[in-house]
Amino acid sequence: MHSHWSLVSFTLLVQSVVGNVWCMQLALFFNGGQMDSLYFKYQSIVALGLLLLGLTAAMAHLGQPLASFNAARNMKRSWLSIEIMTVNLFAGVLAIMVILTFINPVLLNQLMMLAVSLTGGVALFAMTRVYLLRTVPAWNHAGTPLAFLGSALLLGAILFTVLLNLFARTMNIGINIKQLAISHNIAFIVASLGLILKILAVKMYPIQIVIHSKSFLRMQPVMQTISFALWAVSMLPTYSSGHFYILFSFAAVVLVTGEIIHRIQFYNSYHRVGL
Amino acid sequence: MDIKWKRPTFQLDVQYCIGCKTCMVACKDKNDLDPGLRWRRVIEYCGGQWMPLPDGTFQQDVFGYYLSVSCNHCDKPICVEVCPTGAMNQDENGIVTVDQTRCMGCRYCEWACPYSAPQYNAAIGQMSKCHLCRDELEAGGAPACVAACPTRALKLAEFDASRLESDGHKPIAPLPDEKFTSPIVIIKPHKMGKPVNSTAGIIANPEENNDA
Amino acid sequence: MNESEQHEKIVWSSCNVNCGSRCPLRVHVKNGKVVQVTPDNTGEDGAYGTHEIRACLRGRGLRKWVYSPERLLHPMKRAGQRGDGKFVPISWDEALDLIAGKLRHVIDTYGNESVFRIYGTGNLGGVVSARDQIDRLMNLLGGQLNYYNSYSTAQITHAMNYTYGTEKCGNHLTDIVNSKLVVFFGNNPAETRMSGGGSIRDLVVSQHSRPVRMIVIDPRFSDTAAAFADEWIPIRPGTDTALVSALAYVLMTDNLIDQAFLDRYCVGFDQNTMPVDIPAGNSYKDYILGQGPDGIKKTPAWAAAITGISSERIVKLAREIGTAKPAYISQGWGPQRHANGEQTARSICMLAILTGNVGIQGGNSGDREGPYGIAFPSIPVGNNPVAASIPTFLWTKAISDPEHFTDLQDGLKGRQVLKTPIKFLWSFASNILVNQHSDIASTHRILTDTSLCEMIVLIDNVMTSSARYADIVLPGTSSFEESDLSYQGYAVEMGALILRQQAIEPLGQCRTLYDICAGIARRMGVEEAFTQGRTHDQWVEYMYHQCRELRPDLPQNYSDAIAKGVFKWNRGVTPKVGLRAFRENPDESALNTPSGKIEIFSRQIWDLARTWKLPEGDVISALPEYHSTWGMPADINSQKYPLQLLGHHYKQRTHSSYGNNPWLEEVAPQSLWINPLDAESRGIRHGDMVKVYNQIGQTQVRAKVTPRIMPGVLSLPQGAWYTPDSNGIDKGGCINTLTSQRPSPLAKGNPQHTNLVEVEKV
Repeated sequence: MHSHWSLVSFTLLVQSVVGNVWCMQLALFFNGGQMDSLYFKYQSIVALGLLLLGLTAAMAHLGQPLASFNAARNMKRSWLSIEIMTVNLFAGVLAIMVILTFINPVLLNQLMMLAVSLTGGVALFAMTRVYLLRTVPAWNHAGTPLAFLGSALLLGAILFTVLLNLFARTMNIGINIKQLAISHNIAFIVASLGLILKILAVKMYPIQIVIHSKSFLRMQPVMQTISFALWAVSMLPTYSSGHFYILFSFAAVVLVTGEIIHRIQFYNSYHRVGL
Repeated sequence: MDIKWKRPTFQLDVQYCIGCKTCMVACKDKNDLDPGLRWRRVIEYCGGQWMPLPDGTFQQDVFGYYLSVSCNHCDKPICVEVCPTGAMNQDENGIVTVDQTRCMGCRYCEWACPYSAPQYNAAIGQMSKCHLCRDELEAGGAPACVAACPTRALKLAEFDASRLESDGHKPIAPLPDEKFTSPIVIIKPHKMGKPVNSTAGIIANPEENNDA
Repeated sequence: MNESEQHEKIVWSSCNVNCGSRCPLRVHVKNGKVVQVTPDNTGEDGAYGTHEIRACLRGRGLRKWVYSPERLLHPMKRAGQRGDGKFVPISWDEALDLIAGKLRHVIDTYGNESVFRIYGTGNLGGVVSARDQIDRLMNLLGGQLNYYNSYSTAQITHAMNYTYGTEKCGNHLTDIVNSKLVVFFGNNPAETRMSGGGSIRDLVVSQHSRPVRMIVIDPRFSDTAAAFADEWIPIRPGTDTALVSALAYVLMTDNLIDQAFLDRYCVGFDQNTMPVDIPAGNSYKDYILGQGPDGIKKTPAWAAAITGISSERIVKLAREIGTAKPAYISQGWGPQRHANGEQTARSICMLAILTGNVGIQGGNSGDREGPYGIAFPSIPVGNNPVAASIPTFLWTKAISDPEHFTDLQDGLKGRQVLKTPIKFLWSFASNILVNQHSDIASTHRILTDTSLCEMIVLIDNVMTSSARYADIVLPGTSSFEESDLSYQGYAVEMGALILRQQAIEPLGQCRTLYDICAGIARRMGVEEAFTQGRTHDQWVEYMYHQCRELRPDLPQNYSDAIAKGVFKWNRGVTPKVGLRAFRENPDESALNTPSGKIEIFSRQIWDLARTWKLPEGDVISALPEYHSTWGMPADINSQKYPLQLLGHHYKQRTHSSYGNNPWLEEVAPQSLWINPLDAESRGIRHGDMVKVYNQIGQTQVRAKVTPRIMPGVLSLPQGAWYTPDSNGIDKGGCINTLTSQRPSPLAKGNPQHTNLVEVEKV
């Protein structure tokens, strides 16, 4: 099969952004909707940027990118058509939110955030369905939605934590320590949930995928456990500690690398019935 | 333009498919297909074990046969179903074709089709596939592959679901289960034919069928 | 561009390679270019006998070949060493002047016996465009060295002539509808003659109308076995005679032989019919029952260890053959292309003889299936004043070692020893010069020594491996660029005449063979005698009217015939029976053997065995006895090279013809067949690049790991183009890097399936 780098990038980026948006939603909720709008503005801009990057990557695998305006013409039957439309819708809603933050940060409220979170969820659902092809037993099982959702939570939480620290701590945009701590905890919990889903997903893989990527699937849980231990440790001392950056960065790099490898293997495991 | 068939279908007598691949070359010549594009493919399916015996002789249960396969212009064409642009479409005679004004070359149909019927044409960045030589049918002729078959194993017939059994239709490995796409094809099995989903053999010529 | 140029025209042509069939093609031409090639669409396809002659993939791929980037487009002169493939373009005048000058010099210096037109069958379907033109030219110039045999059938031709006094003794293949059992020894029409007008059609139609049990005996589960066999019996290459001997043993001990037939029609089955002056104990019965000189009973157990077939299976097969009458026992030409091929071919006939299946409807003589053909005329080639004739396989020796080229050692005919080496070599539509001749390294050494053969003139369509060794390369027209007649093949049950017409202008400066020969004739002063005042196309018309004398039902008007394009004649209602007249009346229609009977024991061979000088290990025997030879497991070389290597005929090519067609290479790539047991022990997986090697040379190719070949045996399809890299290592998978130039003992034929090799992953 041809190389899948563009689809690996596309799916991972979209899933990261969906997870990130959900973390933002939760942080907003648990902080009583009182978080600093400036911080959200930066988070949203980066999320939108990554989403557009993902869409660009997806365009790159088309033989006729200019014909992609036809992609909505079979939404009645084709999950791919729905996926393309919902991811674009997600990007559109996110873009509106970003614009609103520029026009008037006050307008940014939980309602708009909720719209973003929901369209993100729909996009993720559609994306999952694209791979549940009845002729592709390697993908057509519960492991695929679990893996995609798990990736969204895990990568989204990592992205959220990275941006949180990048903007809230280095740029001093006025998030208080308590809010920061709550956000960190939310991210850690979301990531943990993602991890559990990912482990469950692997259990549901058909035997041929397991054989295909045996050594990696054996090694990945070990790396994930170590990373989560480091992540947990990083949250123990005060947040100003420089150790946080070292420990978390290490954990993040290992986890993200693992996700990329896992996704490449997902595509490589493609196997269809018939000829 | 009208054709004399309501639902034209390929009919393959697997017993007499000798794997000569004349159908493949005829298709390539008619449709000017560059190397790599194979709207029709000939699958070699074989298996069996060898057991050396102490007296220098062998026991074996080797079997093998060939299947010439192209698009089956399915009753439930999964390519039409999954195509996001609607470029993959089916005409009134059930012939599935690619609308070159719509196809964006996402290759999703290629993933989905269990017969490798849609083939990516890198030169134009779009999918391409067997169109059952509709132009030949309109002119009262036969598809290039059918007209080419030296053993007459490959024929064109009128599809009639109620007659399938009496026509001797019985799909064999490595063809996929018909439940996936309801292919419109008549397969007369080989006497060594293994049932669909059998793991007794393997596709012995992957390099002749898959993309490089 | 006017309207007529845009209009697509369809012109009849044909595929002219050497598969045995001859297929018409419809060439679609638009704006002077071929845009599509379609098959014969004439006649009633449902009616067998005048059905469509549908070309196989090779003919159908011709468009890609005619427009190959490797097409030769102008005359060229060698610029580097022979084999380097370096040439400079020259004009036609310069090329023809050079050839004529050298030809004159060679004839004057060494005599006509030093000129040789090498065997070659890349363009076999022509009449006016045939290789005969070179023979016609040379005969006008005082002649040339003759050859006999072919690379296809040397051993079996000798075997049939010694046994039956004719090489045409096969029943039609369609006669299997009258049989109770069909036994094929290595016969494989599904890969050799799979055009819709060839043997495959005969086989399909017969099996359709009345299925008959078929057993295929072959080291390889061939496509014929896959499509037609009820049972496949794998056998070690070169051991068919051992199998037949054991079958004969069971037939005799179970009393399943046709003693009356053996007594009446045959010589040498038992002492009763032996020639009087031969010592007792030399009959076939003596040999089989262990009462002959070797004292070995040819029991199934004896044969099992040799053939790899269990003794139970041998017994069962013998009883099956002995009780199914009539039985159609036949052989392809693979079993005979071995170092003991003459014996193999004769022994397979023994099964038919012992069971009395010779000369009856539904039976067969053991020969390959017989053809039906109308004997349409060739161009008159005149007479060759040179008497000397060499076995065609020994041409390299005729270049390098003429002093030791003798009648008793090398089968030279017409002379006791060669008078002169070959100094001037013609090669037309032939890849024998390098690719198809055994032991390429040896051939390379002989050809690169320009003091031996002084000039090689080669005419072809594309830059072949052989063309790289020529001194002058001339671009010939392809069949789409010339008009001619094509007759039915030599292996089909249908008469046919194709009036093929020039479809496109010759590419580049390509010329017809006729024009090339006429140009040389002019320079040698025999133009008028050569052309008789006719152009190429006038010759074609002249030959058409010659055909009409044979078939008056052809249109009187040549242009009417062209308009129709293809003519077919049914072979008649009943399939032909080989040797029927002899069977019906053995006295009046005696065979053309010395005894007039079937010679199980050949007195002629008995005498040859006592006069010929044979190398150590070679055996010529009056009976079809089993002898293991060099290149088989008993050979000392098998310790280093334990695998037997065959070179089966492959659908991608006809011999080496069309070997560079990308469409054909795509649908049927070259690969080495290897059994999983042999592959596994060498760490070879399907698709791996492997090196096949022995004491003669090596080649590299991809492995096809398949249970369809028996353990201990490899097959590398013959005809792939020799493609050495900068280190001289072949990357094309050409089997003749590994084959030996040692000829078979009796026919002095090419034993190109007798090889021992080892294989390893690259």
